Amino acid sequence: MRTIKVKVKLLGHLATEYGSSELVLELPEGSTLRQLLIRLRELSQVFRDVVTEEGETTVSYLVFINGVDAELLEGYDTVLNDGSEILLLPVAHGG
Amino acid sequence: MNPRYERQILMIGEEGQGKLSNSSALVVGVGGLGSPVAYYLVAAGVGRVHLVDPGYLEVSNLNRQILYTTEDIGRPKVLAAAERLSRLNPDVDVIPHTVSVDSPEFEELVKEVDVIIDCLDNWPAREALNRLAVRYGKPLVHAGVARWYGQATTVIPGKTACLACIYPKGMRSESPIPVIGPAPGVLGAIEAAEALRILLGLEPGLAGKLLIMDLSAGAFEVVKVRRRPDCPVCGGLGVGE
Repeated sequence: MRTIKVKVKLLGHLATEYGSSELVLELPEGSTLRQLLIRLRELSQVFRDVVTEEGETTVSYLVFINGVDAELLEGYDTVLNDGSEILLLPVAHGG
Repeated sequence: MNPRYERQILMIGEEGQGKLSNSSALVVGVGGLGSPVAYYLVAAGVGRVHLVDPGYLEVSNLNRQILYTTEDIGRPKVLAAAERLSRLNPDVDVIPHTVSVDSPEFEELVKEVDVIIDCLDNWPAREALNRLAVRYGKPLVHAGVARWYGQATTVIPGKTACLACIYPKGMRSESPIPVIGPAPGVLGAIEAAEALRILLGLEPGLAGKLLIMDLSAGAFEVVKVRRRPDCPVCGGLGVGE
């Protein structure tokens, strides 16, 4: 099976709780954002509050793929490529 | 040349200073973000600065809300803020308003100002503010903070992504939100710079971009944000970036 490697960058409290601001995951070629998010959920308890069982982010988190809001691509069905960089960030509400 | 503004007139000229003194800004929320925003806009000589906040100063505000002193506890924030800011720069008309963003008085303020700065502390109020800014075509500078972290962007209605284009619906804020003082300090200063650029007729640095700041990692990231054609708030304004 051919695989791709993608980089996931974490910001804010996600990086603190996960203990690192970056991780590289190997996924089957043709994997989608949804499959990546499900993989994250399986990987660490930290992502249980961020990703639903269906592989979608809960409210208050944004996902960017190579600097573009995933919602403006194909959303959770966006196919990831080798070297794709996924930014996962919590939205801050305070003032 | 007014010596008060000498250092900035070296950059923006008398003409730029004139633009600032003939302009008005609406600072919505005068807390952790609103403190530095109001300080810098008043210091820069923006002609009229409206401060909006219905709250009273609490002792727990003082770790980050640098406009206030211990003696201000229990006072309406906008009144204490207006007094202090008027002492900083008597040239500026600082106008306090103890109204909320869903009041008719607030809508009237939105109509009359040149730029709006979102210094709010909760999401439902931001959604209401975003709708008004888009409805009246007013530039809106946004920031939000939590812990060591936060984000900022500038909305030019009809041209760049509005808050409803960027953020998912239905966000509800935890309360109280943990925050360390320098986080709103840095992002408030960035908001003030954006507002001044808009008032000077210069391109704001964060239009169409989301700046994400993480002081725990010394990291600043900028990602592009785009308008959604189907945005329920600004989608009807036609095609932009």
